[in-house]
This record gives sequence, C-alpha cells and structure tokens, in this order.
Amino acid sequence: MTVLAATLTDQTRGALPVLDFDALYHAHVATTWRVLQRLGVPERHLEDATQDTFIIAHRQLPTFRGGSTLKTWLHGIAVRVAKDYRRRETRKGGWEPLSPGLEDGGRSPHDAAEGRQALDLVLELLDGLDEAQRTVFVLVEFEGLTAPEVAEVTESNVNTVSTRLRAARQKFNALVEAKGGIR
Amino acid sequence: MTDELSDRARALVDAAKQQGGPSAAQQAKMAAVIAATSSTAAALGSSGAVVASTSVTKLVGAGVLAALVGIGGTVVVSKAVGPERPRAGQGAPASASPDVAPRSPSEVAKPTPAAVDGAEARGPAPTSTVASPQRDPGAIEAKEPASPPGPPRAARAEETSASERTVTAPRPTGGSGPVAEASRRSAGASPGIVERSAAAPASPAENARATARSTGGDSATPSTSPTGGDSPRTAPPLETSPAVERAAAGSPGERPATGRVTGTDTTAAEVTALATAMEALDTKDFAQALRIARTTRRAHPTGALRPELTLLEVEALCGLSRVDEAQDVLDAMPQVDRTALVQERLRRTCVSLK
Repeated sequence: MTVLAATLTDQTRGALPVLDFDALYHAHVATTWRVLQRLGVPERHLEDATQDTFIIAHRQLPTFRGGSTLKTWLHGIAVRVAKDYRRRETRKGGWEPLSPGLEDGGRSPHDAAEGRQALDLVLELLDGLDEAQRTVFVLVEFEGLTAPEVAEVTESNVNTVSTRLRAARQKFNALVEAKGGIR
Repeated sequence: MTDELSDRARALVDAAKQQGGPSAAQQAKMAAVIAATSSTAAALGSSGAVVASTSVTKLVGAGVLAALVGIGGTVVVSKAVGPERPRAGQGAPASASPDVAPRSPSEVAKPTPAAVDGAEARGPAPTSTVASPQRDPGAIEAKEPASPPGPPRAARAEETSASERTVTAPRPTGGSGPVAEASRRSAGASPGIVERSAAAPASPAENARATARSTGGDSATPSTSPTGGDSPRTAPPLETSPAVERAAAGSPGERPATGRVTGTDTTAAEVTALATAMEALDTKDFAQALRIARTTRRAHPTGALRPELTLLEVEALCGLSRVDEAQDVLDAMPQVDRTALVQERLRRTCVSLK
C-alpha cells in the first residue's frame, strides 16, 4: 500500500481500514518524532520514544477501526509515550540541555542554523508550560489538530482543551515577550 | 479559540514548525528494529505481514531479538526491553565479539548480496561458526570459537531442523519501504548479521527448539512436560527440571570455549528461556512458563530481559489464577523497568501497577 493509499484509507472514516504499517511508518515517523520532541522528550530519548510509539502502534494497528484519523490515533500514542518519558526523566532528576544535530531538511546552513535556533528557543519556551498546556499547545499550534481532535487524543473534553489552549497561548506570549530580543 | 498567539510568538512557532525530525540513519535504525520485531513475531506464530494476532509478549520479546541480531552492527539490547539498556550507537554495547566492528545503521541498511539472495544463504554452512540468524536454530551453539571434531553442532542442528525452518522462518513484511526492507534484511542473511549471529540467536522459537533438542525435550510442545498438567488453583513448588534449568541458564555447550560468561551469553540464554516460556504460555502451560520465568530470573538477576521475565511470570501467575502472587511480583518490579510498554502489557493481565 502506498502512502497515498494509506492517506486515502485514513480519510475513509468509519470503514474498516486496510492498513499497512510500512505506509504508516513512512508517513508519520518524522511527525511523531517532532511531536515527541515538542512534548518534552529529551533529545537522547527521542529515538527510543519514537520506536516505542511505533511498536505500540504496530501492535494496536489491527485494532484500529477508523474512529479517528491515523494521525490523531498515532498522536494519542505519542502523547502517552512522551508523558511516560517525561515522568521517568523527572524522577531521575534532570533535563539535559538542548542539543543540536537534527535534520536540516537540505536547506542552506544559514537557514538551518536559524531554524535550529528557533526550535531551540521554542523548546525552551515550551518548558515553561505545564504538561497539559504544553500537550494542547503543541498539538494545535504545531500539528494543526482541532480542539475536538486534541480532546480525543488527550481523552479530555473540548472545553478543557480550549481552556488549556487559551492559557497556554497567553503564557507562551508572555514568555516570548519576556525573551525580548526575539526577532 | 480565543486569545491567539501574538505576531512575534506566531512567527517563532512558524519558524520552528518544520524543524527537527529524525535523520535518515535514525529512521533506518528505528525501522530495522521495528521490522525485526514484526518478522520475529511472525516466526513466533502469527501469520501475515502485520502481527495482528501477536501478543505484546511476543512483540517485545521479538524487539529484544531485533537488538540481538545486531541493529547497529553489534549485539546490543534494545530500548524496547527497558529504559536503561545500552543501544546501538548509544552507550557500550554488550558485544561478545569485539572483533566485529560496530556498523552504522546506514551500513546495516545497505543491501547486501546475501540479503538479495537469501535463498542461497540457506545452503549448508561453510563453517560451523558462520550461521545466519534465520536458518540456524543452533546459533548459540555455533558461537563456540573452536568446534569439536566431527560434524559442526550448527550443521547438525540444521540437518535436524530443515523442515522446521521452512515452516517457522520469519517472513518479512510486504511493501518496499524501510520497514519492509529492514525486515527482509533481518529475515534474510546479511553478511554482517551472519558474522554476528555467532553470538546471536535466530529467533526465540527456533532457539527454543534448538534448546529442546539439546536437552532431549521438545519445547514446542511444553504441555507434554511432566509438570504440564498442574491445576490452575494449585501452587506448585518451583521444582526445576534439567530442561528448564538449561533453558534458563543456557546449556553448557552453548558457552564459549573460554568458559567466560559474557553479557551476551546471559542475554542469549534469557532469550532462549523467554521463547520457551512464551511458547508454554501460548499453549496455556502456565506452570511451565512460570517455572522457566522464575528460574531464569534467578539465574540472571541483572539480565537485560528481567522486565520481560517479570511480566511473563505475572502473566503465568494470572493464568494460574494466583492473582495475589502476581501482584506481589509486580509490586517488586523496579521502577526503572516500568516502561510504557510494560504498562501497556499489564492492561491485559489480572494485576496493575500501584
């Protein structure tokens, strides 16, 4: 099955999807990695966390019945995995500093450096949000999920999501302002 | 949604939006682990490309195997089995063959002639120390540097199990992506893996059979064991048969000629025992599964597969309706072992983490 086919299947809600793990992996590995990263999984654990996410997805894929999009479903797994990693990291008592070395997407070194700086800064600012706010903020602002989708992912109601998002945006704005020198 | 982001914040978010992501090598490595997981799970009993009917026990067990067959070029223990295990490219690998230089994920991902022509690789082994993880149920035995006179043990194992291999060989997933490709590689006979397989078992199921042969038993049918008929309500004493002990510790013949027990020996023995126990669990021979899991845990208290064995023990106890004991075992599980995967698996047992 091609990615396109998987996407088409993904869009065919309600129907019993014919899913291919390869296609799922292809289509979502980078996104999943980024979601985990923005949700606060330390750099050194990103590979493991992504792997864990897909192993769980691999097991649960046959039970996926199209009640949500594949993207939403996968994000739900990623959110839980990220939560687990964050909890373990907190228990061990420490967060590592942000480290470079991410894929630059084939852009110029200058653009890549600027992009990396922006990402580092965003990750730093996201650390200023609490976990619930951060999850909602990342899923909406970075992944483009709607409030109902986030509610599904986080297993909460839409009002709660809206409240958290509002609070997260306010806080993020404040953090950006506090940084001052951001262009 | 009210309270939008400020322009400055929006610009920052937009600038960072497409940043990050795994490198090609990281993607390949992850794909290889996941693919090996799926192909090994298939070998453990499920059919088809997607391990739809495979339990998490098998999946995670297979994940361990994926690491053992050498993701990253050496024998390592995957993160899938615990949060603090060294991984390929991250930390010291538990390699028993230091002469085999670790390979990068991209090298692992590189197609090889043998991988392309996997059928040829299934021919007779040129030497007793070279055996692919796919075709050699006696891979553990084959790691003896110096083979005794006469037919190599691996070759003997092969002679006696050719038909079984034909049936139980892991089938790679379909498709043409990295997952499928890596699956084919792990299921095929990549030279790199062939070299390393001297210390890496084929699949848990195959190793279990190899162990059973070496011990005169038949782990594929554990319910035929003398202790297989325990009543679910009884709490049988932990009497370990020689076969169980060998499955837990690895038979003496599986040790290197030096007699030195390496971390890989431990893990290989654990994988063998784990596979045997999983088969017992699959055939609802919970008593046998419990014995193997406990014996192995005792034999390897710091083994890499400790969380797996603990979970297996819990599952076996649940199968025996010994819920309190299962809960006790679970309660004693170290925090570090309580990974997301473990918690996921526990959802299907009779107990839960407190």
